[in-house]
Amino acid sequence: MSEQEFYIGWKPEPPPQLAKLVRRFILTLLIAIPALALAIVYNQRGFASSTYDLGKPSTLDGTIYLHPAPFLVLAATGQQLLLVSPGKFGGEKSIETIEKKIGSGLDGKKVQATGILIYHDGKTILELEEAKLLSDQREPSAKPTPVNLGKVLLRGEITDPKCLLGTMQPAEGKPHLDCAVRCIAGGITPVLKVSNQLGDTEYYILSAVNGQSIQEALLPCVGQGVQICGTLYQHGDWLMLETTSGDIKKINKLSLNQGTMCQ
Amino acid sequence: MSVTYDSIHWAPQKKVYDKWMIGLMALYLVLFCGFQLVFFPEITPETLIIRATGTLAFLMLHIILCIGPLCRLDRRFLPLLYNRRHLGVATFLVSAIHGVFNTIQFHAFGNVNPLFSLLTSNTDFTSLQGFPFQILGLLSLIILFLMAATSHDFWLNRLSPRVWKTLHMSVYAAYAMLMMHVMLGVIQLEKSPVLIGITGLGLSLVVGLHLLSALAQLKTLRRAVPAKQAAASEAIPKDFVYACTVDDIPENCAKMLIIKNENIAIFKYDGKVSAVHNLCKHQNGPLSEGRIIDGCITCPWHGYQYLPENGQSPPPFTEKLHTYDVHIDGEKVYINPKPYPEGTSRPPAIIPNYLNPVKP
Amino acid sequence: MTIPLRRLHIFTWLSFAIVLPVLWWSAIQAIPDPVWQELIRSPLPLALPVIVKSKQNDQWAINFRSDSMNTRCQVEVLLKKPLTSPNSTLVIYSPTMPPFEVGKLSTRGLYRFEIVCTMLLQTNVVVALEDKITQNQIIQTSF
Repeated sequence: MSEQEFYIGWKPEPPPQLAKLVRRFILTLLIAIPALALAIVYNQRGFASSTYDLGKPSTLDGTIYLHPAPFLVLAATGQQLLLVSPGKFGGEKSIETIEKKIGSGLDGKKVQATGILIYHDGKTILELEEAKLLSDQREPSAKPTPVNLGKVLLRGEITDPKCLLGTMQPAEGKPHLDCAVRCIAGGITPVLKVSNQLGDTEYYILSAVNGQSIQEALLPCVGQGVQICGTLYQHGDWLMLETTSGDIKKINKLSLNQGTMCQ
Repeated sequence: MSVTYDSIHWAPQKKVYDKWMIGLMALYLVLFCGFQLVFFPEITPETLIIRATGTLAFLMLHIILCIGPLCRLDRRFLPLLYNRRHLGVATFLVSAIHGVFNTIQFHAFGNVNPLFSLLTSNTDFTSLQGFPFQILGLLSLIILFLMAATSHDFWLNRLSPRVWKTLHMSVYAAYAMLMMHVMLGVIQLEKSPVLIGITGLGLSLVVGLHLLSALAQLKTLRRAVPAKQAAASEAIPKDFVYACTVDDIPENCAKMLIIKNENIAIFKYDGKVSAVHNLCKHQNGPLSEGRIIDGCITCPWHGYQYLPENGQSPPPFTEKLHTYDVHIDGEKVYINPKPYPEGTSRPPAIIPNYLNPVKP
Repeated sequence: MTIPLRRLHIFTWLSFAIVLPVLWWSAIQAIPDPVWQELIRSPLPLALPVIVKSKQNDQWAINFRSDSMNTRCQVEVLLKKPLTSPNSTLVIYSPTMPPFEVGKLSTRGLYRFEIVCTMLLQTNVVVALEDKITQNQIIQTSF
């Protein structure tokens, strides 16, 4: 390198020979950057066509039930919307706030509910914001009667349905694990997402035996492959898997087919 | 060089550097977002920001880490090193956007503080598959923050170049953690062989260049130790040791020497030979890889200058180097490795027959 | 760079050259395999043997089924894509009868509903998937 080619940053211009190499370096970046951006974007697995109607609240008439999970059963169609609250909280939080405000319990009562719809793949959630009591009488008849489908063993991933069905993309796997933990710890009804090789998916609401909450027990298993043994119920529009913490096992990558725990 | 601390000392080349840096960053972000909207229009704005900034920060860190070894392997890359600090600060800022959006997206609006959530939602440290990769990202971000916060020359002088450089070498730990943050995080979901291949390519490039540079440095360090000579003749003053021959030092350049743990740069210029401490006062740059320009030793990293006879920066600058006594006996150069106090004037050794050198 | 720092620098990268590729490879090995599972749902009514009418597009396939005597009839829907509406109610329109809400569709897959046979045997029957929350029609197929 000659003296003329020695680089001094505080001089107005770099030596021509060095400027040439730097230009080549920048040219390489100008080619590499678009190629890299394209390669990274194109090779993602894709995102679900889920919807979170943020900023577009809906008002719906229906009956609220708190057990085995917080639901709004729509008066018009009988459709069962799972209830959640704003943020990473289950429907109980909004319901408690509204109950305090109106001074009356909401379980089993007809209301006009306002909230944000979250939906994907035929499943719908309402992020409950407000509710007006339409009748102070309990309406147990609107509550779906569970149909026992028998004891089953299911493999899938435990996650929170609020993110999965609309608020986040992607809402599964390792990157979403912490969020799913936060959502389930906040009381959002957990679901087991199960897929077959054809890409069909089903969502099983998880509940403890006797319809109790199972959130805390699930936290160590969220966001990863698990196999769960339990009793399956058709509960209106939703499938519900009743299980105990002892019947949930993480799937070890090397022993995927050792699933004989469900007797 | 500067005698006062400016927020940024805007040399013209820094402006050009920053314009290109910002332009290329913008190009990546625009293309990434554009491609996302073309191929995956369903993506949410939060995920778009998280992925665009995450991939950009990781790319920038790769470029930053390649600049050092590239410069050591080929000094023509030194213009890329000159303003690398701005590239580092920009990388921190992009990483911070990624980190903040992730923390809000995945940890805020819940039943505990978002930072508490970040640290406690997943504590499966014993499993590679379940390892809480976000912690690795957080630790890397803290390192990048410390580097960005101390990047200014004010901190360089306050901490001393040695401490500052040691602190800034923690970027290597940040890189290792970020590589695993990516591999144990998003790659566990995305799984694409192309994406895995890109991370592998990046890792090979960074590690490969650093290995090549490390091997070159080992060679340089070995060459810096002078060959053992037979006992010096009586003509050689006491305490002087053999350094090299006059011809071993290129004109207006230097040779690095390591004698009795002293790192010395011995310069040849205008028929004279002078020796100073090899480390620039600014960032401990290797002065032996510099040049004599306008009669001054000039550091290859940021152009700091010193007079070879006394190791002092020309006024109004105040940096000073240790100096050493040099003795020439025929073709052989001898040096006394005992340093004089910084800025001590020492007469250079005169090369005999410099105007009419005897050719073999 | 001081000599100890330079040595540390060299040592760091020599170590990284071994450790990082090993960790990188281990992380690839840790990528979880997909977890497939046959879906378990409420059992469908058994398919009636005769396909009376059939139509399909890229969103769904519809079969009208009956037994050999036309005493029992079914509408069978194969939903090919995940739905993107908050409500998906299957409705049959016929010229001589009021609109008949057959049932709700949910996840992608096969559905079977009993219908009255007079509905099936008419012409100009329209099968529609409607969103009763937003009052939008999602899919419509005419027979």
